[in-house]
Amino acid sequence: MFLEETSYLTPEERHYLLEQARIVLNEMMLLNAHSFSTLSSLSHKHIGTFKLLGFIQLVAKAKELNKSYRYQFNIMSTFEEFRQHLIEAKESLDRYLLQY
Amino acid sequence: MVLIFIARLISGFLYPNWFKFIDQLFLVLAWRHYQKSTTVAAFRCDANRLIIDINPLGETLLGYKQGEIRGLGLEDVTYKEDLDVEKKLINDLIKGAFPLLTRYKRYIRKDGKVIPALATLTVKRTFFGCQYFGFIQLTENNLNYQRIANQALASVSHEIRHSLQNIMSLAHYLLNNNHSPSVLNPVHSMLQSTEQISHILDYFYSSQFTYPPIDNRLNRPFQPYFLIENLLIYYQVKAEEKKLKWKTSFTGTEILEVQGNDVYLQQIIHNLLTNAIENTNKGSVEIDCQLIEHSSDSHALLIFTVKNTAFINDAIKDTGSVLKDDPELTNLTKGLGLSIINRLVRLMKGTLRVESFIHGTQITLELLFHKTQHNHTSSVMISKNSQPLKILILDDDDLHVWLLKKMMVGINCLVTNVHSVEEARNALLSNQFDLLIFDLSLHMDNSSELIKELYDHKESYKFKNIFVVTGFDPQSDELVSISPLVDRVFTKPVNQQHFLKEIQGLSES
Repeated sequence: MFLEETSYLTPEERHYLLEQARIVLNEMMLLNAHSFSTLSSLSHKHIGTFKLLGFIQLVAKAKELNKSYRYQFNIMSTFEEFRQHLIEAKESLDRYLLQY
Repeated sequence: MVLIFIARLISGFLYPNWFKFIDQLFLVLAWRHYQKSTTVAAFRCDANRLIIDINPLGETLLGYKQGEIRGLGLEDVTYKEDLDVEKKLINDLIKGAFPLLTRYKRYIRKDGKVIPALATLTVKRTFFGCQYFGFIQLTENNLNYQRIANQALASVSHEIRHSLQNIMSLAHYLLNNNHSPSVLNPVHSMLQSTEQISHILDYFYSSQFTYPPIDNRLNRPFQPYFLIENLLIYYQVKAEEKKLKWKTSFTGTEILEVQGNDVYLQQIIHNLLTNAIENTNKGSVEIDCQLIEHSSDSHALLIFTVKNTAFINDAIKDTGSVLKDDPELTNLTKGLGLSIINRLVRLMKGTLRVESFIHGTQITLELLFHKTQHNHTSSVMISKNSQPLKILILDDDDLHVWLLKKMMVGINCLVTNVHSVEEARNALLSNQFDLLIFDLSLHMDNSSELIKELYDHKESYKFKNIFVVTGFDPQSDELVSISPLVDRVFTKPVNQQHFLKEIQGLSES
């Protein structure tokens, strides 16, 4: 899906996009549960990028995180689940970029 | 406390003017504590509801300086309807019926903006009367907050009612088919308890909440493909957690917009997918979605098929032996949601077909919708001979702006990028644009207010078309209110082909 959806980009541009996505994920890794509001808005902002990169579980959790923040419901458990998927996505992207 | 009281009493007798002085001192000391607060905005009023003091955070929140707010009444900073309700409660508070009053309130800033907040009021008593102190805790700087909170409550209420309904059906079944006292007595008590919970729910939610909104049928434009696609993401995750094979296919026009009840459709799809995944222990779940346009008339047919490797009988076995022989309950097939699905499908004048095969079950949903008629008239031209297309992008995510620009490389255009609503407003007042591309949710802001403003005062701004690009689901409240005001909504990630096709469409219309 990534290649299809980014067919208008050159390989170098795709690499740039992935590098930028890694920066976003790293930024989000630094946020803890106290920054729930920022994390919620940041994850919502980058839903498109996550989807483009095929991190569908992270997209699902980002949406849950956003809802959880708005309804003030299940905040801690959603945060932990989101973080788990964030770590997985980051590791997967790191591994990919290492091979690239 | 006793010593202070005695000291105040004696000093009051000896020096009557001290009474007032110490009284005031007592209040000032109590206020000092709140004045320093950096987490909640606080104010205090006299017995006539006139504001005496406000802390610095309150000044920032309400936009008044201390000197400006002194002497204003609660009426001046509180939403009128909220205060009407509150006055009675404040009287009860003063009478001592309860020590604290916490409620959602809408405060009005000096500039006229409304701020929803969680407000706590409490009374400090003195010898000469009382003052009340207010603490404003910002819940969410968003006008939609209360509506969203109500919807959350309505959803919870719906889920509880749904479960209660099923427990009651089971209890009635046992009452009619089992005559042993050892079963009947607990069943009677189970029924009583469920009815009690049902009454409590009625009491709490009164008639304000009805979900799904049976009496208030929604009929609004939405894009079925994107609604379904967004739901599929959740369920793909759930299927993968159960190690089930997940396959989806789609035929039709993805961007097709129809008129109908998206809330019902969402509920139906949710229930169908929940059932399919919960009842499939191994194998696969296959989803096929077709959106067929009728060229002869203005209709579109949605055919949604869920095929899974679970058998109806297995699912019934799982729910307990008592259900096996009951024809009415057998009709529920699997999952508790199918009765609700049936009801919703009937309301939408659609059909639902359940088929059982050797390898599993297939449920087919067919719904007919009216296609949305776009009366859009645009004068945007992007042909080679025309002037470059002037585009204003309002988005604070530079990576996304970069992607949009890359998508439009082949188009003759001039792109201006702004990061805030204020910058966009200024750019629009001084320049003419052919196309505005707005991200709905900005870091510290939301562009929906500007979109409404542009829609209401088209003559004051120089633009021709608005596209919205957002991460919100198509059926979300944020988008539902904005969609009618703009030319096109794109859900992130934006597909380049669709995006360019829409821009091309503008030039052809």
